Amino acid sequence: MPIITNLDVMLAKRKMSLTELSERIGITMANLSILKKGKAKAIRFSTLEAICEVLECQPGDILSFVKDEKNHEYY
Amino acid sequence: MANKFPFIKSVALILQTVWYLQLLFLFALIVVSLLIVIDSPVVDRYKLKGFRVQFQRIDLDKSVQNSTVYFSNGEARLHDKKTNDKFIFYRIFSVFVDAFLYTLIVLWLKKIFKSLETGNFFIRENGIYIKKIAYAVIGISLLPPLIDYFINLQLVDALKIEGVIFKARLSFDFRSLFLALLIFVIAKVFIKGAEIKEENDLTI
Repeated sequence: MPIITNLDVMLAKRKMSLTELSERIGITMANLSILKKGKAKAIRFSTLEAICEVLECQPGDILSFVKDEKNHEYY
Repeated sequence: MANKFPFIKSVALILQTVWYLQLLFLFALIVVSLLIVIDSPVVDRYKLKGFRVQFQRIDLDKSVQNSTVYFSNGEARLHDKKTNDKFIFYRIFSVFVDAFLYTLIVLWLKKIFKSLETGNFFIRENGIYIKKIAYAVIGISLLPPLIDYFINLQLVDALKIEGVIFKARLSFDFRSLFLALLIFVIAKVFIKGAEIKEENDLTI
């Protein structure tokens, strides 16, 4: 998927653990893990809002778009 | 989940028993077929030469001469010394197709009920099993009548009775076809539903 989550980078910058983030925003570790691994298919605005509020960042700091080279190499 | 729904557990148990019986039946069928093929004295091949033929409709004119008889599968058993051995193999093939498709249906039903027992049943795989069952039901409603029609066609050529015209008739069970169509629609809806559920589960 061309959308990549930089949650681990932001967590490292803020020196915060995934467990602490999950406790502060009220999302289970399992769901946050899905988001961190990039397996998530969608993210709710409310979740994004909570993460941005806790990590004091913009949505663009957590999510980024990288062109999928595998799908375009033959074109 | 299983304790909450004893019905599911009992149906799963029944399906498991049916599954073993089906396997036993298939094994017996293979053994009998082999005995027939090798012309073993255990199985009297001559007795098997008879074919169940249902006279779905007999149109006889006032005089027996030039009458028409329609053949279909089912009822009466015909024993004809002239009947060729190959009919036995057509019949065995027909039974094999039927038994095989029923076995597959039981297998897929068993898998669906197994997932019902675990509680994680709203998954794409179950929808695919339902779709496969729909195809099997289509097979059951189309293949055996076609094979029977083929047998009847051969029988019509083999049987010769003075003054009677034999005609083979193709008769499908349209109820099964409609049922298959319904199962197919349910499978499609189920697969779509499972996809939506998966998407919902992966929405954080």
